[in-house]
Amino acid sequence: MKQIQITRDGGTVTFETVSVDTTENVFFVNLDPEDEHWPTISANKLGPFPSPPSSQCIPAATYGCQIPGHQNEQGAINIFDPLSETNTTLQPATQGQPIADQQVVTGGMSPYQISGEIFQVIGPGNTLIDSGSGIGPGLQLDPTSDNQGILVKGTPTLLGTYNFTFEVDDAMGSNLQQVQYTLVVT
Amino acid sequence: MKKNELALASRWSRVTVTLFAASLLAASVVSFRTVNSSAAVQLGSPPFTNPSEIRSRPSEKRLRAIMELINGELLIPNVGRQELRQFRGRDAAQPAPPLGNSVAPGPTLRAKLGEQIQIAFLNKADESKFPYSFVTGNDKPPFSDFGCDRVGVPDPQTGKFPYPASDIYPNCFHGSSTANIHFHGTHTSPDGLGDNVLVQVLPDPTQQDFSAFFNQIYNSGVIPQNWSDLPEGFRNAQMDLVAKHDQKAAADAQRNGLKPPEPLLKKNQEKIARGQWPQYFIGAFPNFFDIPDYSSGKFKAGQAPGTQWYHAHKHGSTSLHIRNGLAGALIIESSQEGGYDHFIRRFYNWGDSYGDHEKIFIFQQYDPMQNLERPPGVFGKGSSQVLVNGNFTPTITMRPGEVQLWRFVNATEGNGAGVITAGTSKAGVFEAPQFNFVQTAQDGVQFSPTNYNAQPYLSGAVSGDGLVLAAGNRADVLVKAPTQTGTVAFKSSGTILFYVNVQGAAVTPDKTFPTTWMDLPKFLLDLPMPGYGDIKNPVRFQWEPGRTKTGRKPDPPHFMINDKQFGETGDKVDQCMPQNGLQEWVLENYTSSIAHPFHIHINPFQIIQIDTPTGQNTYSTYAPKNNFIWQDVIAVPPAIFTGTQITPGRVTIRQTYPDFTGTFVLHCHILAHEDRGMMQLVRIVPLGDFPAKCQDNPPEHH
Repeated sequence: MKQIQITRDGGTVTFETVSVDTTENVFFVNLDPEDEHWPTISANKLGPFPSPPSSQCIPAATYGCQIPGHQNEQGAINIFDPLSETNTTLQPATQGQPIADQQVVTGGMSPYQISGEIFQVIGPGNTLIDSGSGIGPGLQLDPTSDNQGILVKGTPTLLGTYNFTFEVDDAMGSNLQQVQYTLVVT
Repeated sequence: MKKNELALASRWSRVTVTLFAASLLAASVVSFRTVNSSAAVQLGSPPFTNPSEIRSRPSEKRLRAIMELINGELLIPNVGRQELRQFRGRDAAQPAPPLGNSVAPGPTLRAKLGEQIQIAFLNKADESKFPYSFVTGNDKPPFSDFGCDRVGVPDPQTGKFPYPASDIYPNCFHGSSTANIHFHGTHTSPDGLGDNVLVQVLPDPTQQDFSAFFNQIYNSGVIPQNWSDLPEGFRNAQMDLVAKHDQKAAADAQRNGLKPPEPLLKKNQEKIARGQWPQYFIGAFPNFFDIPDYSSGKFKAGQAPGTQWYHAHKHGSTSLHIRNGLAGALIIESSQEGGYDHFIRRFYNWGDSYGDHEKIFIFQQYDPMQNLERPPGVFGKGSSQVLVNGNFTPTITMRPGEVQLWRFVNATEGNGAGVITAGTSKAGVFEAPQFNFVQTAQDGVQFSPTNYNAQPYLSGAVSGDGLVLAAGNRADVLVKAPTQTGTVAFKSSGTILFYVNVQGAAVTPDKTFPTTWMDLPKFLLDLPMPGYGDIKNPVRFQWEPGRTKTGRKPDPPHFMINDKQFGETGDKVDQCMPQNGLQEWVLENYTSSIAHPFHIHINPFQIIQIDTPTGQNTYSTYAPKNNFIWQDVIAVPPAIFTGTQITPGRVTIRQTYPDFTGTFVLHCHILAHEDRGMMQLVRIVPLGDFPAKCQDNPPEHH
């Protein structure tokens, strides 16, 4: 996450101009109780430029805002990495042994909302041993509270290949679904 | 500082509450299924569902619907929640359904030959939610200056904005709050209340109730032919609303230091004084047209029964609207035994309707904005993934040996992943070789028995890539599931579009595909060759001279047809044809890399020859002797550039213009190209008026 601090000093305040890859997500933190004086970008509203901007911001290849007439106000622009999958093939594990925490989702903004967890465990001979909601017996998802994505933790109890997926929404409204993860347990 | 912290906490809690509510909604639609297959590839995939549907009323022989254009925050899978416009439709006797949680195409409209389409189109979009609207009345930038969208900070050297760069109004992205509906594939009137894409319906989210007027229009069963045929109260209300709009637009412009827009009331009044229809409406427009039944004896030709579709078609915002998802299927069924739908349903004993035997695929790429309005090299995540009926890789369930009719509609904008490559029978349609397929129709027109047997697309005869759906193309295929159970991924160019899970007991009795196909209605038999001396009309897809590649170098291409952009030389008719005329046109593509999909409204055409460049002045050619395929969209192959030498891609089409006169358009169906100039104004006039009245009072091109 990148963060650009904004402070005001004088009658006309110019935001630091920040180059933003618009595949990233931008979140304005407003420290001004008078919302209307600031880029009132609600969750993910800035998003990819130029979705409906604040009353004072002109979307551009760079984002710059000039807000005259307001002094001693503070704010920040937080730029988050895109919500995306990682490690779709997890490190192999041993039945009954705790796995090392492994990251399955990176980026986005906390808190993360997880839904639609579903799993299958395929055993020897390509037979289906177990299936249902969750990510498999003994495993859990651990959404971080500091914008660090989602981890997998736990101790797998079945022998075989765990396949699982889930849907995640982050606090900016980004969404990720139907990513398939695999963990082989021997 | 404490005050600031409190403000921050308050803001965060608001965000948290909002998203928690949204996630509950999302969870309520997630389906947990017990999977009995050893293959796990479709884990988490939502069940395939057809779009919602509005059917015609059989006893009244009409489809009577209300189609609202509304907006709201909707979930785009793998993207997030975005403010988007959507079609929300219903039978006029039903209450309005709620706006969904996730994106979805508009409802499927289903009617029969010989019925009437009566759709009250209500544009209720809240323009304040979207930047760059033609009708911008906000006191908040960015303003459109009532011209092109304007994005970014101007270059200090050139003064040009990143967008529109060098695009010139009206051939630029603009006016996205204004809309209309194009009924793609219909053979009906292009004027008045018909398939009229030159009408502009401005938004009015708090509009008055026009239903009494619309009931009066529709219940008569007589399609108004003139503006004066509409109820006086509706006409007066519309003129009042247009006048108020003009006053507000002028005041908004003055307040924001902008040049005021031209008054629309004056333009409407000029049209009405000439006995024409006004072009500008506020909030509501009563679409009303016939679906000509070829067997009725009332028409020289008629409507082909098949998979048609509808989408918003306001010049300057067709592509943004299609990216928002403003599209849906229009299924027109046969009216009697021996007709297309009757034949298929009778063969399979499916009864009077398809039920679960029919699957409708609306392929879409949802994105809240144009890539050209993003920084160079940045593309929206939504525009790179193709959804099926608003879902990411849904799963169809079939029984072993089951046959279904699949109707494909490519409702994407048409770039990149939006070209749907279904492939060939030999390599496996959608790369799913265990399944058997037979194509029954292209672009809503059934195959002839010869083409049904030969399968020109799936055999690879037309193109080595097989059945390829450019933006706007449709295809109907009968599909038979394999006898073995399991889950199969269906892919286009390696990317999964959807899954089929074959499970359960095999279908008995086992039936494959019809071995004898129905004859074509007479009007769909091959058109004769135009007479000796007929000059093949050229339609050349081009960009500016000297360009050899796509991309911003430094500005995006200027897309043109026959050396000019849409309306570049004023409001002129570019192509004028006599009613019932018979012509061959040669469509040529002088751009590299891009196969421009040519589309013309109102009448389908036959594909006579396709010349695909293979090198300098060399081609591979598809040129059947007869049984020419009917289409209304054909991708013209890209040119090959060899130094300064251009070898253009070429398609020869044959067409005729029966039943309807009027003014409409042809264009590239990569809709961003259409918005940015690759369109022509087309008119059919009675033979006695040709060519004298070809240029009489053409409509505005905005």
